[in-house]
Amino acid sequence: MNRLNVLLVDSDTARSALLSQALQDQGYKVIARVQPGANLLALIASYMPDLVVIDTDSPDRDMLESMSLLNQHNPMPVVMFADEDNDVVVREAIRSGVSGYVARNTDPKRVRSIMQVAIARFREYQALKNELYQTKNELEKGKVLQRAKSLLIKHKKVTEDEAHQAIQKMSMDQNKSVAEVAENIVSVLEMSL
Amino acid sequence: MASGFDVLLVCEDLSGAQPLVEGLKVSGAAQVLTATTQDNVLKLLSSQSIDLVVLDVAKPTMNLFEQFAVIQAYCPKPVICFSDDRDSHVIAQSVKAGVTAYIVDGKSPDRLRPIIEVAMLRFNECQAVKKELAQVKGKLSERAIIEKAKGLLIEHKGMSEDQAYKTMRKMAMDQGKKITVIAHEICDVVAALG
Repeated sequence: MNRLNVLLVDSDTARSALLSQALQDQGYKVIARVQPGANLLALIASYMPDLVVIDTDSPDRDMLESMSLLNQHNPMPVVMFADEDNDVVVREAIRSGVSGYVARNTDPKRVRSIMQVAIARFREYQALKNELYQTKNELEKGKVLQRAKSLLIKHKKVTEDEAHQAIQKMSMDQNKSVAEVAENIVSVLEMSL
Repeated sequence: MASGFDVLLVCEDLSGAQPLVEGLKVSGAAQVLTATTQDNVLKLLSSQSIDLVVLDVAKPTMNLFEQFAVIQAYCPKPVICFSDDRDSHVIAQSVKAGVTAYIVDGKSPDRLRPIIEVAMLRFNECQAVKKELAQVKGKLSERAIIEKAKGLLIEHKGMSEDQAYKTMRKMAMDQGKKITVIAHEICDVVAALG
């Protein structure tokens, strides 16, 4: 297995030095240690790690919001070390898209397998979400094509067959995909309404 | 978190299962059924109402992976797997087969509660995405069958695309059926008649 690049986020530099050492012993490469804060997302984007490890007593609202945004816009595995007993915090962290949650007093020997599980699960979930995104996209393209056809029928007084052929011809002539042509037709004709 | 859930505990050897059974009950399980890895887990799951499957094995086997892939397809359940195997391939394979939580060396009864809670949350989150995916795929295939029926009418009845669609819509209204049902029927009839 390649050494994975880890970005370590911790407000307590002494504690993060220990965790950083533990992660390196387990075969991870800690590329940077940063403090949580308003620029956390920018930091993650600039370091481009394979995974983010967060060490915190208890994640605050800002932290959870950052994780939720990261999950939407730049999804990557996130493993959080935090207090064990707080059910609410665990639930909130999972909702914000954290892939792995490790209780504070976890045996260091278990850390590696926890991180591996987090990464594997992240990949599975991401694959599922990608499939959903693509399928939705396909459905949407079909709808736009249908809309483009009916606009042509209405505005240009052509039959459905003719509209279909017109779109295909435009696609070939302009060297664009049918979906792109359909989108252009919809935006132009709906604008002039 | 929800309590009063029913658990199926699958072990290699039932003689050592008692601490885990107790731990599950303390963590809110109403009922804990036990089975060995030799039993037909799928059959047990289809005959009993189970909310959570807990697996306690030294190493998950190919046979187990296969059973779990089938379980995820027919009656998806959250699955927690306690194992001694920290091999990254085994972990990846388990997650792929539908194991919600894979835990190495973490079987202390007092830690079960947060583990169960997280597993159930993740499972529900995943099921929601899977359900949405199934719906979107359903819509796509409905559209495909309507397009196919339209194409057949155009080809065999010499209709225009517009006429074909209007014909199907009229059939659907007259017969009080969904247009996808009509489209299926048209495809079946044309296939039978050649």
